This record gives sequence, C-alpha cells and structure tokens, in this order.
Amino acid sequence: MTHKSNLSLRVRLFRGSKRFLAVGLLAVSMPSNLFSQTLPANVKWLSNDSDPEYADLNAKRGGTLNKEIDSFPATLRSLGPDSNGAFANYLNPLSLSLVGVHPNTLNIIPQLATHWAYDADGRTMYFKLNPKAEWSDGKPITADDFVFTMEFHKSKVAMDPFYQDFWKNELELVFKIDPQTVGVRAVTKKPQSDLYMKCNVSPTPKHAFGGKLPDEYVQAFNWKILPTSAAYEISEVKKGKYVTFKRRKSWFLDDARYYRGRFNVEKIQFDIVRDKNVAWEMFKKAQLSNFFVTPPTYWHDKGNEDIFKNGYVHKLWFYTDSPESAVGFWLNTEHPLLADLNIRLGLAHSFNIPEVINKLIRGEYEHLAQAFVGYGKYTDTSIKPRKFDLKLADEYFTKAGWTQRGGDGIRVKDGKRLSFNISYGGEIMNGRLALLKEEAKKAGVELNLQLMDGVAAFKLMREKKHEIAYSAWTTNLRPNFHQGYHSENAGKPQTNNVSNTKDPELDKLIDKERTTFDEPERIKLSKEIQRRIHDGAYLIPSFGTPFYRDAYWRWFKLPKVPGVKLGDSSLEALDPSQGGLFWIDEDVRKETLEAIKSGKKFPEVVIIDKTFKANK
Amino acid sequence: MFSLDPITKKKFARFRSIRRGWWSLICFTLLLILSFGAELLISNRALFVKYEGKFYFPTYGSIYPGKTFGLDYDYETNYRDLKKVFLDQSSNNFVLLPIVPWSAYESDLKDGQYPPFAPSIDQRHFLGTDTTGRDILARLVYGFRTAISFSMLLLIATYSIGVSVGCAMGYFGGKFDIILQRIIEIWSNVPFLYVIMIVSSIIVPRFGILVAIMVFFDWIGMTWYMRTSTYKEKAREYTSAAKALGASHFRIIFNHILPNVLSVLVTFIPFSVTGGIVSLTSLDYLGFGLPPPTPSWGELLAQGTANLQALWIVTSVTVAMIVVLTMVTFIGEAIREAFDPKQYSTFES
Repeated sequence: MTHKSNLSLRVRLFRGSKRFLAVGLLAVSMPSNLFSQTLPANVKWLSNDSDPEYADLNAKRGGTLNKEIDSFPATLRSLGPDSNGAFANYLNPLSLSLVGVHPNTLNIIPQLATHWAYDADGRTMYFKLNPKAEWSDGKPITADDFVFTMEFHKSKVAMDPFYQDFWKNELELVFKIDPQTVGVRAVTKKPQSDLYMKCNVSPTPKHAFGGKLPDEYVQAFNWKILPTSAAYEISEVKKGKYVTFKRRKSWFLDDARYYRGRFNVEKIQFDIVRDKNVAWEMFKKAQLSNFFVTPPTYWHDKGNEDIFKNGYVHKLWFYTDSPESAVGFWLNTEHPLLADLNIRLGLAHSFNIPEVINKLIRGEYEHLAQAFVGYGKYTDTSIKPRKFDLKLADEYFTKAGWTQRGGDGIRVKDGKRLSFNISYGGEIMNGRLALLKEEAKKAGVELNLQLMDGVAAFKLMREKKHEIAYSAWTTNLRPNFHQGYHSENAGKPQTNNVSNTKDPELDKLIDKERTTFDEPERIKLSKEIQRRIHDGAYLIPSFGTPFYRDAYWRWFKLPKVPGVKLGDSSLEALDPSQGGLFWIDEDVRKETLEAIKSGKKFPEVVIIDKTFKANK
Repeated sequence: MFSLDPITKKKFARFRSIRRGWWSLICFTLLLILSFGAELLISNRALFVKYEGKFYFPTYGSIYPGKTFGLDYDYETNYRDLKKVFLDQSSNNFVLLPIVPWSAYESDLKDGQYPPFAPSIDQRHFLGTDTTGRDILARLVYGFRTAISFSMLLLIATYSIGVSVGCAMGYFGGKFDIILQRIIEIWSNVPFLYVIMIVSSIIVPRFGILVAIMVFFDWIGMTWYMRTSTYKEKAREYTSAAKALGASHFRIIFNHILPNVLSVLVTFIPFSVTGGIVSLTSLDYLGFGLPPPTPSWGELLAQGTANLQALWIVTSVTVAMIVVLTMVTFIGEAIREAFDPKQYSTFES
C-alpha cells in the first residue's frame, strides 16, 4: 500500500523516486565556519505550547512490541545504495528533525528545536535547539551536527544521487549561528506554511564519524550502529533473523509537552516473516502484536476467528483525515486515441468504479473525486467523482466519432477498435479490473489487462510507454502540481507527469501557484488548477481508504481517542510526531494468557472511531 | 502413412483390455469434446431465441445488442434478464438458455452480499462463484480447454523439434552428434522458471508467447530418447537397404526409422500432456501465466488457497485436477503396457 505522509515522513517519501534521478552533480563541501552568520536583529522567535496533547499521560512503561518485516534490511545506513528499502521506514524515525507537525492540528510543534523564526527574505529559517538535546551515547546535539548533515548529504562518498539532487534543487545552506542556533536556507522563496517543511533538517552525529566523512562510508557503515536522537536506539542485529530496538533510559523529551506519555514499550523486535499467511498465523499465537486488517477479507472473514470472538484480540476501525494517495488510471495523452478529450471523458464514464466498491469491497472504500483529496482547505471539494453513465459515455464517444459497434459489441472506427491496455502491478486488482473490463464492454470499450511485476509496471509508466496505467502515488502535506502536470515534465521519461499533460493554460496557473506566497491566493490557485486537471480528465480516480483497520492483542492500551488525524496504524511505535501512543498493561497480558489456557472468554471488542472522519 | 499392421492391431487390443486405461480414454475424449463445445452448455448467450416470429441463435458469432429484442441498450443482450422479460410479457417470445447460463468472465454480484458465493442450484452456480462472483464451473471448463489446448500445442511443437533433432543426432552421429549434445547440455542448464518469471514480468505473456517460451526449453527432453533409439535402428539392415537403394536422409529418418521408434514416442505422450497442464497451472498459480481474466486452474487454485473459508473454490479445482491427471496417467500406463515388447517376445533356451 502507499504511505500517508506527514512532515517527518516527507524526505523519506521523496526518496521513493530517487532511483530514477540522474547522477550528475559535483558535491560542494566547504568548511562549515565559512557559513557562520549572525541572526538578523528583528528576528521573532515562535514556539507552540498550547495545542492539545494526544498521548495518555498515565501510560505505563515496559514490555515488548513484536513486529514483522518481510525481508532483512540490506543495510543500516541512512544514505547510499540500498538504503531506501522497506526497513528505512523504521530507521528514519530514529532521527528527529528540528520541528514536528502536530498530527491533529497540523501546527508546527517543537522537536529538536524549541523555537523557530522566519527571515524576511522568505527562504531562510532559524531554529533554537533544545539545550538538553543529546544523542543516545550522551553527547550533546549541536549546530555542527546539522551543518554536518548538509556536508554528508551533498557528499560524493554517500553515493546518493537523490539527496545530492534534493540538496541542490531544494536546500541551499545549513549554517551555524552559535552552538545552539541553526539557520537553514531554501533555494527558492516559499510561503511560511510551506517553508518549514523544506527547512526541517535532521542532524547527523558528527562525532560518530570522527568529525569527517570517511571515504569508504558505503562499505564501512553498512552495519554500523550510530547514536540516535529519538527515544529508541538499535540494540541488536542478528543478520537474517531479527533486529531489535531498545528504549533509551532517559530521553531529553521524556517530560516535554507532546512527547510525554509516549514511546512506552521497552523493546521493539522486528522478526523476518516472509509470507503474509505465516504472519497471520504468528499473530494468532501472539507472536506478533498487531496485524493490519484493512482489507475487507481480513476485517470481515478472517477477523471472525475465535481469538476475536473470545475478546483476546481487539479490532479498531479508525477514520483519519489526511491527504489521500492519488490512486487510479492514468491516461497517456500521447496515445493517439487518448489525446482526444472526448475519449478520455467517455472512458471516465465507462469505468464502473462504484460497482467495484459496492459489490466487491463492501462499500467501505471511498470513490475518489480527483487526485488531490484530503488536503484540507487546499482541496476543491466541489469536484465530484465522474459517474458510470453509459449515456454520457456514448455522447462523448459519438463526439469523437466512435459511433459504430463491431460484431463483439466493441466500438470501431476506420477498422480500428476502441481498445486499451491497462498495465498494473499487484494481483489484488485482478478481480476488480476484470469487473471493470466487463462493465466497460457495455460502453463499447475493450480493456486488456496487463498484469506485470510491480517494478516493471512502474518502469513502463515512468518511461511513458503505457496506454492506461493503474498506479498509486504517495502524498505530501501540500498538493504538488508541477511534477505531475506541468508540460516541462511531459513527453520525457522518468518524470512524474505520467499522463503527459501539456496544457499551456495549466502551466501558467502552476507557475503562478509556485511563486505565490500569499496563502489565500495560493489556495485559490490550487483549486483552479484542480478544476482544470479534472476537466482535462487525465486520471480516472479509483478508490481511497480514509481509515485504517488494525487488530491487536488486548494488553495493548491506547489513549482515549485511539489515534491521530494523520495516523496510519494504532501500534505505530516510532514516528516522532505521531507514534508511540500505546502501552502494554502487563497484568492484562498475564490475565489474557491464562484465560487462553483455561478457556475463559472476554467480551468481543470492536472499536469504530470517527473522531476525525472528514464527511461524517 | 502407417497402415494398421497385425502388431499394431494387437497392441490396440491389448490397450482395450486394460479397462481403466480404456475407460479413461473414453471419458477424457468425451471431456475434450464437451469442453470444445462448451458454449452450448455453459454460456451467458442463449442457445435459441424466438422473438416476434424470428429465430436467433446467439451462441456463436456476433453479439445481438439489447435493442434487437426490444430492450433499451446497445450492448450485448443479457439473456437471463430477457428470459424474465419474456415470461412477464407472457407472449410467444421464447429464450432457451444453456444449463449453466453464465460465462467465465461475468460477475454475478448482489446487493448486501459479497462474493465468493456458495454453490447454489437455484442460481445455477453449481460449484459456487469465485471471489469476484464468477461462476466456478464455467471457469473450470473454459480453463480446462485452455490448459488442454496449451498442452497439445506444446506437445506437437516440442515433439516435432525434439524428435527431428534427436533422430538427426542419432542418425548422423559423429561430430554433429557431439556438438549438439554439448549445446543441449548447456541449454538444459538455463534456469527455465526464472526465464519465464523474468519474461512474464516484462511483457504480458499471451497464449502464443507462453507456448513459445515453454517450447524453447521443453524440446530438449525428447532428444535423448530419440537419439539412442535412432542409433540402434540405424545399425539395422533395413536402414542399410534403404541407403543402398538411394533414399535420402530425410526419407530414411522419417519414413523408415521413425515408425520403428514410434513406440518410445507414444508412451511419452500422455505424460507430456499432464506435464503441460501442470506447467500452465503452476505458472498461473504463481501469477506468471496467462493474463487475467483468462479462466485458468492455477488462478482458481491461488484464489482457493487464499480463501480457505470458501472451501468450494479449492475443492472444485483440486478435484478437477486430480480427476483429469489421473485419467491421463491411466491412459499413459495402458499405452505403455500395450507397447511393452516383452509381451510378444518368447524366450527359448
């Protein structure tokens, strides 16, 4: 599945596409004192200690969380070859950033920095570090560690073209003002509401590298355990078997607002379980703490087994409200037929997505209206999903000149059939697409399903060789139109404009949106762009899940509101902004294990929480 | 080309006398015929429609849009609904549906209930539906047709190549034989499964491509047997006689030697058939086979094992596989028995 995004996930999400970026940049590495600067005189320090806390302050410490990973990490490095594997999702949250995002109010909250300030130039921010901040080995975290991050990411020794590129195009400079104050400057001006997302740098423990970058970083640091800034550190690595994290005895944010009552388990163990069915069996034996039961088959069918009925395992259905991943059928406008707007519109009305949602997946998923759903005030909620409507489809196809039907009911024109290939990776879609194919026949459209390996399907799409590609895109906190819809990215491989959208009017709007600082104006432009993209019908959106469903053993306890608005799991253990809300009640654990032995039952528990549901 | 000589007749009689092989052959042939005429038994198209005094036979050929029968749509008529409409009108119009009125592709979905649906005689889903609401019996039968066609095509192609190359190796011998042997040894070490996985993850393996890939690796097996048999036959007098008479190599191999090594070939055929079916099924099971939504046993098997709570899926396909493979094995066993030379040789001291 795709990731929901938040601030701390942001850089990680960028990394999803890093392998496609070209190498071709010389690293700039200069002594850090060159950048020493002074603060502007009139700088106004900001902080946030008034948003509500979202953890339970009475949470108990201790116990072990058991999670599964499907393959052993190829490296423990955070940069360089193979560092972007699935395990990066657990390694990255071990390093805090300057600031966090409150997962319910979406305001900035302190993390490593207690205060922050914006420079008048619109692209520089200043941060005052928490004086108590220290690495897990007891060394203090200082401004030098942030400057080192820049040198490290730009460096050639890390062999990480993605970050080299990111630091070239997005961030200009990290500079030290004094040991407790850091400045970060972006390449271009941004409104304040977006600037902090760019400037939110994580420190790198300079002392662990002996003060300078080793030339053989990629080889030497493969399995090296570095000190962390987060509540957990890596404690044991058994190659091919498991990785464990342990809780720091004292963490400098233990008593800080927003961090109190969180990160409660003593130990997190990641076992390698290669098969999902095996993981399910392990979960049923309490060898795993929780299991994602979002798919209907798990929630309804497999979720009816005895461990649920006897109340040993609780089920939680939690509605979130965060940017929805853009999922659907991307139409390649360089295809001669798909270049015609009428055909794209006709197709949009020939895809019976409501039938798939209502009859196959129990009506629990949501028909997406467009690619930018869930961005709060940035989303144009007046855009509604296009309906499955054979009359409208017929009108559009007729306008495009496709009026005749062949012997098999598929439309024909000049000896050609109205037939398209849909490329996709992921067998879970087989049945759903088969249904869409049968329904589309009614509109006289033939859809050929091209099931491919996930990576191959993605490659085909990125090389723009697809006709219609089914794919999902990760999200950021703000909609990004340039990469997906600007003509600069059309017609060439390895860009995210997979529909090859080339619309001069749209380009103008996007360019304007990128350089506008005034937030209300930006929101207005954002909505105009969404409307124009919707009118262009480059995407036939499918369905989204504005919730997650989780099953966990009953000794895991959650706060009163058992999740956060931007959340994606109830037993999320590590994320600095939203993780670690749960704790283990040891007495309940013993009670439950004894009950299983003696056959005692508890009432079944299914929690459905709609605190953050968007359209109640 | 080969007239029935007394020995062949004897072999045939011997085959018939092995009852389970003989009956398996009859059943299997029947299944084959039925599966190739499956549209008459299992199809969403009606066998026969009488509308306003006109007769329609929609089973084969172009579709009839709904408008043909006074319905309000341009796409293919839903004959199950049409039947209801005609019954309500209580007119002279008439629809005759096949026994199973479902195609292998269409989903039968309901409000408030979710597939897979259990077997139901009322709904005419005799074996239930799969997780997308498609009729399992329909998918089994059409899947069988695909599998058996695949297997037969594979057989013909691999045997043509394998037999030709193998005979040539045995017949010509010498350097030709040695070089080809080494090539085949290298060839047979190419990890076939990986190649299929790689190819089918890059391109979509349509039927023809899949057969081609399989042939590419499968022809090797036959060469060894044909080579040794040909070596043996080549030394016989009739070969020398043919040579002396000036017959061409081609003629000697295919007209003189091949009929004499045919017994080797024939005993392998049934096992190659099961091999072909099993290969396609396992590839489909692993997701590297024919593109969805082609009906296939492997795909059903994968669905069944992933949805053990819907036991009818996995049961149907497993039983079907066991029955077909056992029948083919019985046939093979009987053929091998019938062609066993020991039957006809007597030992005198």
